[in-house]
Amino acid sequence: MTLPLNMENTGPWMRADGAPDGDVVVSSRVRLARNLAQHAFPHVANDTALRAVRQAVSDAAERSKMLKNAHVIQIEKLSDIEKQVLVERHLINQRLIESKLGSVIVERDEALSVMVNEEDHLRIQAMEPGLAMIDTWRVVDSLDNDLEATLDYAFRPDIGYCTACPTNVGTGMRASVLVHLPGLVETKQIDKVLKAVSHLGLAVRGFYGEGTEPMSNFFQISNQITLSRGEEEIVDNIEKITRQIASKEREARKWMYSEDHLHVEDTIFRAWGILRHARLLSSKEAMSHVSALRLAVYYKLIHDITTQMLNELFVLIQPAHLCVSSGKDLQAEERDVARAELIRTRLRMKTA
Amino acid sequence: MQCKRCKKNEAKIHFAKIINNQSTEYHLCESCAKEMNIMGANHEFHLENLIAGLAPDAEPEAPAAESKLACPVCGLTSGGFKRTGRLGCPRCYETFYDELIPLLRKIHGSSHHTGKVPMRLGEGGAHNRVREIKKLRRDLREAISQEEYERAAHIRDQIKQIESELKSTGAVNES
Ligand SMILES: [Zn+2]
Ligand SMILES: [Zn+2]
Repeated sequence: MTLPLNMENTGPWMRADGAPDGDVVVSSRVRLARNLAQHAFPHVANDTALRAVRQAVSDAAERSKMLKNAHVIQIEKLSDIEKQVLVERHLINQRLIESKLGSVIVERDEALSVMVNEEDHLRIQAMEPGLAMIDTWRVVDSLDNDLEATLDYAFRPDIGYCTACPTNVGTGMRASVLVHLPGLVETKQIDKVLKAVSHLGLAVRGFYGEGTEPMSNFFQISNQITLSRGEEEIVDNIEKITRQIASKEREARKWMYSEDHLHVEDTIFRAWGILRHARLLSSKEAMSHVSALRLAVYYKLIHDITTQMLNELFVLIQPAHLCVSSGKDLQAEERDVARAELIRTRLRMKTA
Repeated sequence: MQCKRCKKNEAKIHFAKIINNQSTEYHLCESCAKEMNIMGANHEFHLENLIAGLAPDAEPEAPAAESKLACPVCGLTSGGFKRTGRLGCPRCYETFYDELIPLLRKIHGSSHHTGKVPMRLGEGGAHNRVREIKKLRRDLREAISQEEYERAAHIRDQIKQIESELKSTGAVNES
């Protein structure tokens, strides 16, 4: 099977112009866990039940206007690389790959998707560029209503939506933002911020690209508690806290530049030089330079690039994407060659 | 920040657990998170295993007879639930209700749902609209206190519209 996605680019949702707080916040995501009342949860259900769930969700999706251009992708029909492509695009996760009869329903712009038979029967997901928690929640909420018109969800008035794991029960909602905080890392304020945020009931973790080391300046912030608070309250809280973090990050960036602009500019222009000329780029090296270029956009030092272009690069230079776009399985060094080539080409393209 | 468990590596995962109003910070490196089984393949975060790991604490109190409890639909036993931290089917919520409620309080600080209700559950639609109005009223107060009168007027219109919809349709109203 070939994936019904445009592999030249990332999901169209990532390319939208003018993402709110896009200088600091890469994306917002809201995921809802839902289960059908009449079936056991996926880790216990037999094949017949898993097939029935998959069919029921596909049928429900077909009736939703919000998914009218969606593709249904059955995971077991994909090659390993194709599965990995979906992971790199944040459409599925490792757990869905390990599920026997999983599928993902992906709307054409890839902002909306539904994982079927992951830990729960449904994981309904919406993504938006920048800080847009409340809008993202509204979108996922409407899709949930659409699907519920056909599906009979497992719900109890006292404890809310029933999920396989009690950590998700209640709203079943996991809302997160991906933030880029080079200023707070460089000025060593990051520990203080991470401590403060974790005490506000949010979890923070390093964000991983390829390999085992997290990308040092990217963090994912999400709600820990899913029960006893309303959805609006949860997303509103994340949005407000993230806005505060963003303003601290901007202060740090301004301070860095006023304190030692030569050093800041040197790092940025070195990154620019390397990315436009290197012949071999490891994922780690590429990611750190692309991260530096996000600052170049912020400081208005390089006018040929935009934050969206860089956000896209983060996805396109990952291994499975490189393999698919070159049409074959690449070894590590071949990937470094392909990665360097893709970055050179992209950074020479003039923005529209 | 240093990992609080091994005190060697850089911490990459940060969260706090609030149990009985006592907040415990966790700042863990990747290998400690893996040892505690809260990080899996592809660096996915599995907080539920931390909760499964909390179970041994509770075990001495639990009488042996209780572990014979099994779900009539999926067959999951109380022991199985404690080992995996996962339930087998929606019915399990009824079967293990007495064990679940304290656990939910431990995880979430409360065991009462105050969020969305499915539309089809009788008054569900109306219930959700009422919650929407409550939220808009909060926004309205905030807008007024910040002297954003244009926004306040807009919010007031939204509230009026929802109220009139609720009146005209009686109850269930899908947007
Ligand atoms: Zn450690
Ligand atoms: Zn059960």
